[in-house]
Amino acid sequence: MQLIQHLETMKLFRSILLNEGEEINTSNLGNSWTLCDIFAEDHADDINGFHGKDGYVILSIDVSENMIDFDNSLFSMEHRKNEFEIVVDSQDVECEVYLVQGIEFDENQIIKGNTGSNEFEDYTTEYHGDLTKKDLMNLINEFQD
Amino acid sequence: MPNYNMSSKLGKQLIFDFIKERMKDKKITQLRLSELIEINESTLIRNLKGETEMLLTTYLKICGALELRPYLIPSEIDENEFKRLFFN
Repeated sequence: MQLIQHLETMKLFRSILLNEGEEINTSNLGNSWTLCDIFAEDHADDINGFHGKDGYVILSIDVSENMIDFDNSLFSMEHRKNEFEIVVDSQDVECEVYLVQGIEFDENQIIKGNTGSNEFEDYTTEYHGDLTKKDLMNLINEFQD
Repeated sequence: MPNYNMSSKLGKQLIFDFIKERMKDKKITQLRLSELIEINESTLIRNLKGETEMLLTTYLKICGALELRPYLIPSEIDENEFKRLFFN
């Protein structure tokens, strides 16, 4: 039997669409993050098309395994495989501004806030699919190599 | 004299888009790539955003890290789509 490889922390990314001069809502930084910074950019650029906003900020956080909502992360892995999504439980976090596009925003600041409790449309309380925690940890490990 | 300014601008975007797709396929973040090719992370990010010009040495290192072949193909034998999109 193969053991699950445990990690101390993993780096996750999330894009926040903003208008020029707009502040980040630190009480609801969001639960859906991605292992892939390029996907976070794509999500803001192509998928949302900026949503009429002037630009976006990509935040990064370092999270440990016990901060992950495994049911929703596995659900996402099954249904949105190309998004490399990791769902983080509602909690206080400290983020770093990783990348800024289209707006003036201090790239070197640390953002402290809460991931909020924004239950998305396909939020699940329990995952019953075929994927396992080991599958998710393998995906996470691929990004850490 | 032909003007290659537009082809170079479009070509650069095509190449950067291709590099980013390759990074997703290989599950390599910009941070990881910057470590692999030993350049500053913010330099790489600014390069890929087109804010600053990428050095040819950086481009070649990226090709190495992402296992891409930076061939120079004579146009008369090229059947790649870049022929149509890039320099005609």
